[in-house]
Amino acid sequence: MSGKMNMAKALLRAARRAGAEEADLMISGGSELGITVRMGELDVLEEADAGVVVLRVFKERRMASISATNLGGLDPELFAEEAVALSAFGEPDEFNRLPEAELYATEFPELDLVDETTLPTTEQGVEMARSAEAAALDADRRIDNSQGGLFSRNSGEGIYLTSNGFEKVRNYTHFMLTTVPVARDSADGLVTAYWTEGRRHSADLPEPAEVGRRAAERLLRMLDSRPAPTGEFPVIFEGVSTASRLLRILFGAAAGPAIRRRQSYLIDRLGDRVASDLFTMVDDPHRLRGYGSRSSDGEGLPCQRREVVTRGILNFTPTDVENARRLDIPVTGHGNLGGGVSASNLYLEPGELTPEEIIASVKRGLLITKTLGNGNLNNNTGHWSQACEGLWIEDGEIAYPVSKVTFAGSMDDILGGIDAVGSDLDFNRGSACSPTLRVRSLTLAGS
Amino acid sequence: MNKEFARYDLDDALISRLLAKALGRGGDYADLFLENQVIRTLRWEEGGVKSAGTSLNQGVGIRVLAGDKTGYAYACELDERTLLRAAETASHIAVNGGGVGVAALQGGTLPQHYPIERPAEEVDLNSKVVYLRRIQEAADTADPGVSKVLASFMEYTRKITVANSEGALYRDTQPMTRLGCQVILERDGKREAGSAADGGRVGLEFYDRVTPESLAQESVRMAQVQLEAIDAPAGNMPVILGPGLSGVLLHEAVGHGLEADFIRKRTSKFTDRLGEAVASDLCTIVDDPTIPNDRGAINIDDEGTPVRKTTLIERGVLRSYMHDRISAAQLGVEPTGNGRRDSFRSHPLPRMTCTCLLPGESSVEEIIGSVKKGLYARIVGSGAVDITCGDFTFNINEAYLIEDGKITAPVKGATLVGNGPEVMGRVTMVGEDFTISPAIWTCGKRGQKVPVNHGQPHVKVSEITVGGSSTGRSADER
Repeated sequence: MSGKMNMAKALLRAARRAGAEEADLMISGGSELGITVRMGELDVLEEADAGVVVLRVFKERRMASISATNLGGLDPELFAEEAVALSAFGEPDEFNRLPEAELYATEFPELDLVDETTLPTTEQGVEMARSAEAAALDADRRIDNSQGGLFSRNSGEGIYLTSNGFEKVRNYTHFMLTTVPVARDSADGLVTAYWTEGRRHSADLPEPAEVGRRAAERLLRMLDSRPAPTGEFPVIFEGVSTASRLLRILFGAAAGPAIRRRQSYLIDRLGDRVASDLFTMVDDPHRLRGYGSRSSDGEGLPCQRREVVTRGILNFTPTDVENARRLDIPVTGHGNLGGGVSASNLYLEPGELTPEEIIASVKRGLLITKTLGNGNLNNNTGHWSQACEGLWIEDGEIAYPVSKVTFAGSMDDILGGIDAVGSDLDFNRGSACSPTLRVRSLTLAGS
Repeated sequence: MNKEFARYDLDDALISRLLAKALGRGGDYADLFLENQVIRTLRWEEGGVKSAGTSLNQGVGIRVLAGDKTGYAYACELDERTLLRAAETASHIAVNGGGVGVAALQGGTLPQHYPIERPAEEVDLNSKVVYLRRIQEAADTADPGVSKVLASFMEYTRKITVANSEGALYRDTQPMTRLGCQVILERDGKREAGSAADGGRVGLEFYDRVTPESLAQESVRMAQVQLEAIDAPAGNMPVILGPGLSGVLLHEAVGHGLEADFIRKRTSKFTDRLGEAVASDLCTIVDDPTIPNDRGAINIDDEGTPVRKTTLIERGVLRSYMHDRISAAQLGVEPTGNGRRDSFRSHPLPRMTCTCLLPGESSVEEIIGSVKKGLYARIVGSGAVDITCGDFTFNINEAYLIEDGKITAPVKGATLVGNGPEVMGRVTMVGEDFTISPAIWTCGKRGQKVPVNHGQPHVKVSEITVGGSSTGRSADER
């Protein structure tokens, strides 16, 4: 057993001695390498090994948690005593307890989340960042500056231990390559765009030149943007950029904490239509090498592939154990350590139209390629107003780029109005992935 | 409570050895940042304290500058072997060998921008539980339709030591507290939320003035207004921004673009514009870390530069950027004390502190009376900016129509979008009622979060895009 596992067990024992009836504990740590190359030169090199320990204690149905970054200097007795002393300030609550032992996962599928090679080296990482940036800079003479090429390598280990018998070590690696070119448009205005690729295994990363090429392509199409018209128009959410936001919002609103806090537009909507019948949303924790993959959830419960929404109908409430108990609903394996809910790999089942065919189907409307900020989302009504930019479509063709546009509508109108789903699902876009989606009509504000 | 369960502080001799190690392969400069932050939180939910928490965030960051390059490493353990290894890792950025030596460390004294009577860390947690209970009771009393009350109290003490190879050595203790409340109000099958929070680098005496009851009542009032709101208009129109909170306009429309890392890289819209008009001549904008007890106040920045008030824009003309050490050296000016970081895990970047638009001469009545048809934004929320092109956005969470110079119906939440210099050029009236925002703001940049604030009086923007859903036009055929 590693030193960290010994430390974890010592802390749990200390918590019990200090008077905790139940406790759980996470020790996570790892190493990080961050490289920024700018205009061909190494700009920043960051390297570190670090970790954190989080201990949660339950005593007389009161709960407290304590965390610290200095694992080596920690006195387990003092740490545990502090946690138990803190718990006295809590209110006794019958829901403050660990999951029952029989709920814990006992089988853990192998998900191939660790790249065992030690590649790329720091020097190779610098070269990859440099190549990605150079490919963007070389793509067009109007691209004459850059915010950099970035490469990062993260590897880590998380130990999760509970006083009622769950024990799991989770390891992961993650590699990212990004570049952010800057161009000058015909009015001498500056415009920027980026492209990023992330993988669990470094060998799965695309060629750096491909990252640069896509960043340049996304940048060049946005030069010389104009305002968009104000009015009601069909709207397309681009698969690789903006469509996944709809999935995240829907998942958050459907989840246990939002329902229980009554901060959701989806209260009492189980079994009802929440999107058009083209909309089938899946959460799949067991994708090999997936960004959000996990063999058990954050609380140690088993998890599996499930359709959250099938042809527009909401199937279940994704939840953690505490909210399942409070709402008296089944557990689903979506809990986070220490509370809350998260999806694993969330995606929308693709349709049959290519993005080009979807664009061609719109007479006059907007392809949204970027959102600016998080926008104004009212959790209670599902009303959403969001600044964005994109490409204006006239007669089925991209006419010109537009910026400083807003769209507004309710989530029910947006998801209910989806009348085309693309075939372009890319699982490498992060923990939520969607193909391109067309929405019948949304309010745009521009000129 | 308050047991020291972790070691804090390094002796000066070890700091000198670490800086020397960091410059062991060359380089022009090295600095060390030691942080020990203890955060305590109380979360109130379902009528009681749901959980109490303590977090200790402790570690050391070591940076080496070699030409324009930065080497950075950090460690959480404070033993000499680990720290020497971090210094060695940071040193790899330099390849020229030799280089500068480490000057003898000399402690400096600092101004005190956070004078406190009753430090939160010295007061028993029970008295803060009482704040949360008072919020619940006041919210329940304010409206029988209140169905949920969430409240929280957070306090931290962040002790930092900044030392560099030029011999500077500063230690500062930065307090922060925050009391927040969120309510859900249900009536006739409709449901809306309201929230309020305040605090700053303040002790508990602050909450004698800004009481738990006032935060609860404000939250309920906001939710009540939202229940009555009609669709917000869509399109371009005059917008009047209320005082205080709406200073987020400054933060997004000009503040980020004046952070000089973007200037030295020539990726900000404001590059090469010193001495030029970038806002209407009614606008004088400062970044001020010296406002006592403000959320954005600091006594020293996170790379050891003494802080000061910086005039960014004077009567519409760009006068200064906000610098850290690197940008100041590259652009040949003095650092402005804006080098900040979210923790020892990150190297410093130019960041805002408390960004303010100084008062003008218009009365509130004049400003509102000047608008025939437009929007009055009373409470605004978070925003974002694309620094390169200058486009920015922020949320309006409580707004009203203005019709014939009068504030009329409340409208639903929406977002505003515009371009920084363009919108600042359309500031056609500035009020005399300068107000600092409640202490709720955290700025995120490249993944680093730092506490900031801003302030401004009533401001009239003659035209900006409002992202409502009411156009009065019919849907186009596809």
